[in-house]
Amino acid sequence: MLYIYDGSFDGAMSAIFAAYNDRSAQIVPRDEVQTVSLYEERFIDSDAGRSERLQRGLARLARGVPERFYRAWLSHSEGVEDLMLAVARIGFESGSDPFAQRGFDAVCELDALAGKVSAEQHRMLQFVRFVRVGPDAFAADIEPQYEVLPLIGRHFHSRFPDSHLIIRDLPRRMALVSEPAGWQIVRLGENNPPLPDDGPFEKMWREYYDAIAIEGRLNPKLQRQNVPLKYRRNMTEFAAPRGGGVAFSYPAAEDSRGGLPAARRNRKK
Amino acid sequence: METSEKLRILGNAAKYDASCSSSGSGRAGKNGFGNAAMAGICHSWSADGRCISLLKVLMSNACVYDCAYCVNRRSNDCERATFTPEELAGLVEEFYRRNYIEGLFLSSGVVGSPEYTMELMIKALRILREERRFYAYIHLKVIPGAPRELIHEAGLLADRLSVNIELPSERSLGLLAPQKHRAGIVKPMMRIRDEKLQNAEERKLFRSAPVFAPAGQTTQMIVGASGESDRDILRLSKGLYSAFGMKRVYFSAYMPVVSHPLLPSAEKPAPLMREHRLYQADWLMRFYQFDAEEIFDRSEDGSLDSRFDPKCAWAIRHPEYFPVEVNTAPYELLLRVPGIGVKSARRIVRARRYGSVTMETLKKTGAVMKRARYFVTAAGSFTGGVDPADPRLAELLCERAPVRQLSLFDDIEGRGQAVPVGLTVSDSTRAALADIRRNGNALYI
Repeated sequence: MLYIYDGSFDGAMSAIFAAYNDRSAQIVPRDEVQTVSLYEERFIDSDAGRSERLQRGLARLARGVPERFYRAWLSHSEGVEDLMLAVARIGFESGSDPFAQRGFDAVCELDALAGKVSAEQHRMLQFVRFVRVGPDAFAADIEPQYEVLPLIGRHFHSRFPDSHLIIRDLPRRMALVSEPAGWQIVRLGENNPPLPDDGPFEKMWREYYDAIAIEGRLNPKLQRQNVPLKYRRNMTEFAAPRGGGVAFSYPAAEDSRGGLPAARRNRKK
Repeated sequence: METSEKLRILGNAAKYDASCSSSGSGRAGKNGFGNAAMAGICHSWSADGRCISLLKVLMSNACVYDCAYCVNRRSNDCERATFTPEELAGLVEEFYRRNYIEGLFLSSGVVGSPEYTMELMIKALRILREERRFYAYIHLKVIPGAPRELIHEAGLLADRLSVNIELPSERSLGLLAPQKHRAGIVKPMMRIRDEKLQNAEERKLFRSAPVFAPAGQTTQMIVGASGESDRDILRLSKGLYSAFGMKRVYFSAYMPVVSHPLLPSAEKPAPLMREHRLYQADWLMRFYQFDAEEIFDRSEDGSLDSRFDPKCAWAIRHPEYFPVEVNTAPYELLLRVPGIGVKSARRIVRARRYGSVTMETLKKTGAVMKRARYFVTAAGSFTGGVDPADPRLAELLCERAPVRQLSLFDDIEGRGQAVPVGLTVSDSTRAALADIRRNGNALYI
């Protein structure tokens, strides 16, 4: 049976809940469904109650298990839902922490996905580069491999509680908006003007960046390991100065993408 | 002078300080901005591969001292600049708000006197913390000879304090940094330790008492400018960890910045491999429950072997402990296996509660099998191919220097010895070794 969910985390958890006893289950988000399927299909409605029940059950196995499921799911890699189902079964059948049971391939694979997402989350805390767009407003662009915006909101909001921030995830057309009152993820429209030039501080940062390297120890390989080339496009110290141009405007706040998945709500308690 | 010009000069002058860590403090602000992440965050990596976490600058490089190893010494002909406290604070805020940096690392040459210099730095910190309400990480270098009241004040403003020990012995200090004295360095260290202890007591009584240097203190010494052996250096760092509760002891490979009759010549490359091995040994002491003396047992000249990492070297010298059975060995012994780190050792201990750990499982814990396989059995099976006591093991585990480092004019010493010394291997043995490396999975009997 093919279980199709709406593409939200609560939806994925609801689908795992529904498919738990079906040994031939496959779970896919709606937008990945092929037109012709050889399997019998069933659409699972997102059910926050079931999602929460499953997460509570996982949390009883060991601390941090639902969080790791959420992180792995954010990779949106093909088959991640099936891995989540398999690992949930391993956990509930043994009655203990599934992530300690590294003999199972599914456990290692799911853990590795969660690890990759966490690694990119950390990279974003490191590499986001803001441009001042107003007296207390800052904007940044990122192009991460995974959907990490929901994981970095809390960090930037608590770090700059007095500013208005927007971090645009360009390939996903989503943005993190942080304001003194709180933060949320919004959907972006079609037209996203490039960020404006940021004046003397960008130049000073570039000059400082060049001055701090010790000529006798140059090690571009190590530098590349730590700052992979794919992230450099959006980093002030590597990117060429911007030309200015189109005026940058703050996105309208009513584009809200709806509430956060249950995993986030749980974490706040 | 323009701020940007000063930043270039004073950033350039600060780059020989090794520390850039922003960890160990969880400071959170009220009615302001910025905070410190417990684990620290690096924001970039410069072309030399070193991380940039903090804005590392000097308050001033107009130094009155004349330390032989230092670029900023009085007799060196270079550009001089001094920040005003307001200027520096503004720069830090602008950089921080753009997420370029995690905080400030402020050091300085000695302007006039240690007191005056410290006052200037403290003023910049005050502006940041009190006027601008900046709660991010600040690492302040304490100037040797600073009076105790200023150390107290500095500790309440900064997250981490450090006093550089500079050279590993008093004799070297006397030769190369005649204006710095052992007492001027050790006294502030003791002061920081005592203040921290006292502060901890106060905070037990009054939870709201301000924290003194929450991320503790560190120090740094230059390696390769003077004649101390690796053993001397590690003994000293062990002492620094236990006597002063240091969070870190940094090593900085001496870069020949100036020519001086008492220093290595400017043509000699910096002892980067030596620095690397010292850090590895330092890690063994801090995370792997090794003692400084163990790292050098059965070693003649008290230097670390450049061919192997110190843990591998220890294992080769101690075949009596190996092979270790991963299903039964205590955690402490797992930590001694080359290729098994803290993370994989913990995973092994957890995984074996659920069943027998096989070579497959071991691989999945993240253990580096390239090294570990010579030292472990998993459920009785051994895939190393060579007995742990076999002298050929040293050849198998020997790290080769990367090819790009080789050149006709290479000075082998100080470059990590591209050619293994003391091992003459005949061609037939070499062939046999290659065979073992290829067919390492054959069960050794």
